[in-house]
Amino acid sequence: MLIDYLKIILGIILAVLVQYFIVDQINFGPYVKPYMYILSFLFLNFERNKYAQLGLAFFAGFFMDLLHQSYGMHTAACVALIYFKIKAEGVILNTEAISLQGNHHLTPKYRGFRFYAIYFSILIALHHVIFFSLDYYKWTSFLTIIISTVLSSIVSFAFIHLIKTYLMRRE
Amino acid sequence: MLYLFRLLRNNLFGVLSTLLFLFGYWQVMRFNAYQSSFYFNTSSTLTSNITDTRESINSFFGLPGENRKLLNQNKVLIEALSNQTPFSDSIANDYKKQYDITIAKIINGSTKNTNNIFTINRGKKHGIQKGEGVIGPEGVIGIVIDVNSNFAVVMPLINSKFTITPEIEELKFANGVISWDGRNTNFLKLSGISKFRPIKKGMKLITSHYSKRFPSGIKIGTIHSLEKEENSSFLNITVKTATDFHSLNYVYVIKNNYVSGIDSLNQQIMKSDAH
Repeated sequence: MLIDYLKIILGIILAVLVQYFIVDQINFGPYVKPYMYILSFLFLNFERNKYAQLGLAFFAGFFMDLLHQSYGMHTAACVALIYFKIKAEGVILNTEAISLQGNHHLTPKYRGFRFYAIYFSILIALHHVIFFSLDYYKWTSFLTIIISTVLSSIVSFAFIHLIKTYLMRRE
Repeated sequence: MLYLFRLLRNNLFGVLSTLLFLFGYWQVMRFNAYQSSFYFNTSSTLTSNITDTRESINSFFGLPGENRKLLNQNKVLIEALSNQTPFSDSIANDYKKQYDITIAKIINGSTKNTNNIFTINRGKKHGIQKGEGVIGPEGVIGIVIDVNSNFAVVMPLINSKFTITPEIEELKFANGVISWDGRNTNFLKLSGISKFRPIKKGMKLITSHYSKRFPSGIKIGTIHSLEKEENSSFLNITVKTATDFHSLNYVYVIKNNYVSGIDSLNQQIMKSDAH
């Protein structure tokens, strides 16, 4: 149990460091700032204690803020993301059906790739819109926030899906 | 009261999530004023090792570009030395005494936010003070906005709060305000220039001799494009930055030794005007 959590925490630290050292160094052009570190807690087992998930997401956001000196922006966005993820799992997903398929989080097997992509894209976009709103923090930047959110979410989803498919096998 | 506790217990997850979110939001409001001295002081110790590692990796890969910049800078300095102005020795010595320069390395910074900041590895211990100008090999970088014993925070040109009045080198004319709109780090906005001025694309913008923070003649950028608005008497000017903020490594912090004298003289005049 403890080792399991330790592994997740190490995974979060690794994801944040990869984000900081590699992804942030790539210039994707104007408006595009993908954040793939959220995959470290986005695919947590939905049978896992929700308070533990909240704590892990808070830790990921806080650690990211510490490195980026972004002072709470990632913390707030990660906490909001995990809250809505847990709520969405209770309302939208049939977790029993997914468990019967032998999975502990949403996979394309459940209702096809389209549903999987929309579900995670919305969650990623939610994180990004909160982050960019806090970053820009002015009404006049509304359009910039929307464009940044949409473009960055697409790239983030592509990154996360590729890493999840080819590099990660389990939670 | 019992009902309140029951309500809290039933919605504990929502309440806890809200509290953590508000904690994040409070941090944003408390520390995101670019100065961020408290957060900077506490986190700098924790992150300095990591940022040093990252910087050493980045420095290694950036060596060819850095060498090119140093070569160009050396060329400019050699040119300046060989074309010295015919000042008398005493005037030239006085002029030399006006500015002290400290070389610093950027150990952390952002170029992706609206209000970017850089952290340099020189602080009070090295004589750095708030308000001092910072230049790089290619031109103006920004100003020091916070300092502790070992580090200082620089607000660069690519921070939406930064403004500077430039001089147009070709016209010998200082006016307008340069600021950044938070979009492209290569371009700045110059506002407040009358459309009747003979401004042309490609003209160079430098620091003016009115500036207390920078020596005159330091490059800020070049005019990239200009638009005339029908209902306004001012031009919309886009300026290409002289500095590439993505590949900065070493900077020079400039201390103007005349500032305290100028400030005290100004205060005296203001006091005598008030009487």
